[in-house]
Amino acid sequence: MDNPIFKKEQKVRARSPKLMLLIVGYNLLLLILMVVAYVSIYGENQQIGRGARYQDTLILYMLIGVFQFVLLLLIVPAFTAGAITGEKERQTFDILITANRKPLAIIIGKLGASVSTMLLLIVSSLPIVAVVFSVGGVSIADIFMYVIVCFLEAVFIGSIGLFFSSVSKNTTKSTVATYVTILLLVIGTATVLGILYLVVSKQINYNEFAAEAIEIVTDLKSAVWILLINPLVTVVALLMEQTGNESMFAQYINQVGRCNTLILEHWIAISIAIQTVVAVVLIYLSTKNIDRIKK
Amino acid sequence: MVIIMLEIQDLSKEYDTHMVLDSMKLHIQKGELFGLVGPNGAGKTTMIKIIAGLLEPDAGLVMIDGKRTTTKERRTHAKIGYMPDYSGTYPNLTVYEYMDFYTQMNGYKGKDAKKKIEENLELVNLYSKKEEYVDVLSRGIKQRLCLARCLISEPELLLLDEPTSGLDPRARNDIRMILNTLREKGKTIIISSHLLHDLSKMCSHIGILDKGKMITQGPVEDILQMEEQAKPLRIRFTEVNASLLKFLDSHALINNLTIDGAQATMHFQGDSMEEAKLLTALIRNGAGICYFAREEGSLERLFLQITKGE
Repeated sequence: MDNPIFKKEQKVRARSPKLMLLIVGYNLLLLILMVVAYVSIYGENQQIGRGARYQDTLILYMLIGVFQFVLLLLIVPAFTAGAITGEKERQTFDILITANRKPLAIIIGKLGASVSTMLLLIVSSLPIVAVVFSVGGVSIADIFMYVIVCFLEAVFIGSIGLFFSSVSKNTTKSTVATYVTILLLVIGTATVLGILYLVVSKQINYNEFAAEAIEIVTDLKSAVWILLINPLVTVVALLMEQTGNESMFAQYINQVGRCNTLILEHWIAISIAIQTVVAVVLIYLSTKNIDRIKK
Repeated sequence: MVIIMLEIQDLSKEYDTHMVLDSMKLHIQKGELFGLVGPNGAGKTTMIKIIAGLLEPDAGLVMIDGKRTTTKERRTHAKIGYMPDYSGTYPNLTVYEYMDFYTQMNGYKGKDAKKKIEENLELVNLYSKKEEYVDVLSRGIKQRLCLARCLISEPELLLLDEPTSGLDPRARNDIRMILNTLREKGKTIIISSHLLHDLSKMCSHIGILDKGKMITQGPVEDILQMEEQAKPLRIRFTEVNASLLKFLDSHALINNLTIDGAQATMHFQGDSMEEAKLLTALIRNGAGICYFAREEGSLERLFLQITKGE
């Protein structure tokens, strides 16, 4: 990436001991999870004299995949939420913005640097993740697709952090706003559906007229589409597809909502498309925010 | 032919009912080294930021080389080099990498970038320090580096906000010499400070800003003369009598006369020649004089003097 901001961020970050500590800490957590999961899944089988089961490997892969993504959900915002506010606090923002460069290049450079750090973490964890190869069940193509989806999700999550960084007065406010938004996306959307599910169940139980009950249920169940904006659901959908559990994913979705078959079949592509559009809008708004002359 | 590099018309800026700039007017010719002096809070930094395109004024017009700059969208002012009053730097970058980053930010690549970096570092005498990390440099060296940085885009107008603030005399002298070199190359430079004497050693013209207004501007010699005249004149006599008092009171160039025992303090509006004439006249009138000198002045005294004169 021939972007001076991107290159500078990489240099500054690589020379900081924080990056080394992050890689070590990240892989240590992943290793602990892997060991615990491995022992839980295969330890019991060894005691009763059975070999490794294919399904157990897939469970292991899913666990690692979800856990790794949750860590990334926590790490990526920490980099992007302070991208612009950090420059202002370091008193380098005014100099940056008066250089002969378009504001979009600054935003893309910052986003690129944060996403590349995420990729570095994923690549550094491949030796741990590769344990699943030792017992088979998951191909390199699956891992590659997982990395691609994580990359796109990092762009989406990173754009949220960048947006708040471009509007906030300091890094603390920006970081809080970013994490609250991600919490709403990941847990909030599921919570809303959970509440709707309870309401729907109550309506069916207490409504005297079946036709009306069906109508209310149908309307409420359409809200399942809000899960398309949930990055964790996208990654879970991918992992379930890769482990041959797409029908189980469809079953879960249909339990909480009503979703047409086309969307269910292409859930990952559609959700990534929606999230990418949101990311592009947030990047555009961030560019406008930093380009605006301060009043 | 006189070319106006910077023209400001009726520039105003208000923060929370506090008027930071109040219908300010200014014009600077191409090639001038213009010193902007004023106390803290006078509006110097605000004015410089508006010219640099970092702040939007509430009213007024800024024209650089005949082109209007105050618009809603920021334009990249290729003609401007901006150096704020703080040397914001990045950790873990060497001097060369710092310059390389900003050179690339200004659109230079490859050999052009390398040549630009080397030229600018040579200009500020920092080429020998190119492998040192920026965050361990002294303040004076950082200021020279920041100056090298703001010259990358080959600007015609340099905006330097308190570049010598906090520097020792040697470092100030280094900056002064670099600015003189830049002036000889035809750059127009605006430099702000709250120290008049600091600016008087390098500027060709000075403007005095107070409470958002340009209260006076002109060649540095004229401003220094005004500043000199703003300093109070103190005379200590061996004896003060009625005729002496009458003489001092009726003198056309003496204002605000105060007598404290045998000591007289006054505001004397004459130059050094007039001072000599006053001294001669006092001696001829039989006055015994122990002390006759101008006291240390201050910008506040100068402002009072100028605004009272208006």
